Amino acid sequence: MSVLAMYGVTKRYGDVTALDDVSFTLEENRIHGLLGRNGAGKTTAMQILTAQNFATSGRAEIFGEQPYENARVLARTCFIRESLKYPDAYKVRHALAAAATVYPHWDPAFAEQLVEEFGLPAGRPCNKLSRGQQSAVGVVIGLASRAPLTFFDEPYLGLDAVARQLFYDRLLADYAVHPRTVILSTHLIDEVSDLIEHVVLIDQGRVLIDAGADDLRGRAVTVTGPVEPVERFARGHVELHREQLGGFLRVTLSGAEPEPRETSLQFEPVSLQQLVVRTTQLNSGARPDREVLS
Amino acid sequence: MSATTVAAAEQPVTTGSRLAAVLRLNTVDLRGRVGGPWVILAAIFAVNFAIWWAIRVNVDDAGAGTTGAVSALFFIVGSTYLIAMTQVMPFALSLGLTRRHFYGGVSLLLAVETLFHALVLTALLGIERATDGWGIRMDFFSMSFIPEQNVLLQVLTYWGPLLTIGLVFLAVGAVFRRWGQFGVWTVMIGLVLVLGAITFVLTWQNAWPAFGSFFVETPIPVLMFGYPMILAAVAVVGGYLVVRRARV
Repeated sequence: MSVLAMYGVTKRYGDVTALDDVSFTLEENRIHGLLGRNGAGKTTAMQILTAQNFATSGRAEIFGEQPYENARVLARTCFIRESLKYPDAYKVRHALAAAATVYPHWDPAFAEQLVEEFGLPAGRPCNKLSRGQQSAVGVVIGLASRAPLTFFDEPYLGLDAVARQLFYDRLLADYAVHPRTVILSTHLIDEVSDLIEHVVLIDQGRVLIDAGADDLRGRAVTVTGPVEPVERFARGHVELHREQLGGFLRVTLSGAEPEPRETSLQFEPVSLQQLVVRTTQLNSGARPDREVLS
Repeated sequence: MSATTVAAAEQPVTTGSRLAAVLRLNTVDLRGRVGGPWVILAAIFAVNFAIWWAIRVNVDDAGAGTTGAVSALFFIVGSTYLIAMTQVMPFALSLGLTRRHFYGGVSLLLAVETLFHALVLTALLGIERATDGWGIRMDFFSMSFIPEQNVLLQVLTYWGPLLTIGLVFLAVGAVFRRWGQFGVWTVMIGLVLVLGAITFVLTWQNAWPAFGSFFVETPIPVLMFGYPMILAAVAVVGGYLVVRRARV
């Protein structure tokens, strides 16, 4: 069952097109990665899906209904934004108490555990927290709320690698016990590649990839070898990237299967990050004549 | 769908539960919330009391001890509700509350909170009158041009302006949410132009005496509660119409 959908959504700010005819649907009870560069349109997409912003044209739905002023569906969402600010009068415990009254599935024990693990000072005013601690408050709210549809928009600003890993670990563990739909917007793709089950890649306001993560892992391959056999092998495949060093050529190909009989060639799997980077580069004009993955 | 799926156990969303959440978001620090304005007012009172005590000691006939200091409470209430719109609302919408529920809940809270303030002010005014101005003929809680009247009307006399000013600040906050600083400046400039035009017309038509007698002749409850309620209604409806299309 799809929990969220965009149908031909376009968003313009004056001359700038933030989203350009974006369509995708996301399945319920999965962790989805919304990937893309800064300014790609990820945040705008999530804002439109939660009716915090309005589409210029097209339609967005969550739980099968339009979200604007729709308490029935919005009540099941939680949107942790990168720039989420807390009221000046709030201490950490106030922010958590406020969220606890909003969400019927709020788990106070889990919240307390997370506060301890992230080393958050519960009595400190939110505006006196470090950037990382502010992010941690958002992470605690996003996880402990157990909202059926939770958006994390780059929730890790200022969090160090250890704290980020703690977030990924707790998210995965809690998600296993309480399945729900999580949209994780990030550009730290390597860090989340084992976490996400489905990928939507947005670049310059357009969807470049909308596919299962497992499917993507087998979708591209890097071939290295002498120029001539590599060129022969690459023929007929979509080329995502090419590097040449002397007589050796290294190309990343979409849709190609490794060919063990080609003994002069070396085949390597392509990581999700590599695939995303190469696909984005391809889209940003490096090879405009090439077909883009979809 | 798994049995532990959170979506499966969803509870019905009622207007009451949503409004309660909005109230909670705005009152997480209830002590500071309710106590803050009165601590400030107490400090202002102490300063005024000391000054008037000193005046009465040195001067035999220093006239009426009017302070007008209680108006500070109006601006404390106003700023609290401006902050509700600028700071609390974005957080509320992130937690899945609607603009309608937020604005409605905050307006409700404002009505209750200002009624509470009006009741306390009325009680303190009673003490002020009973003690002949705190023993030093100081008018701190009375608004001097309002004559003695019954308790209910006195409560309304405080509540009307407090509620109205709160709703006006809330509407200004709505403008900020919708159009940002630019919108607030536009409203302020518009207001200056309108007030300027009224002043111009009254002066041009030599209508100031009539304007003055309007305030004298209008019954106090109408002047302090009736007319403010018209402005309050305009502010609350206008504010809602503005905020319903606000982005956060």
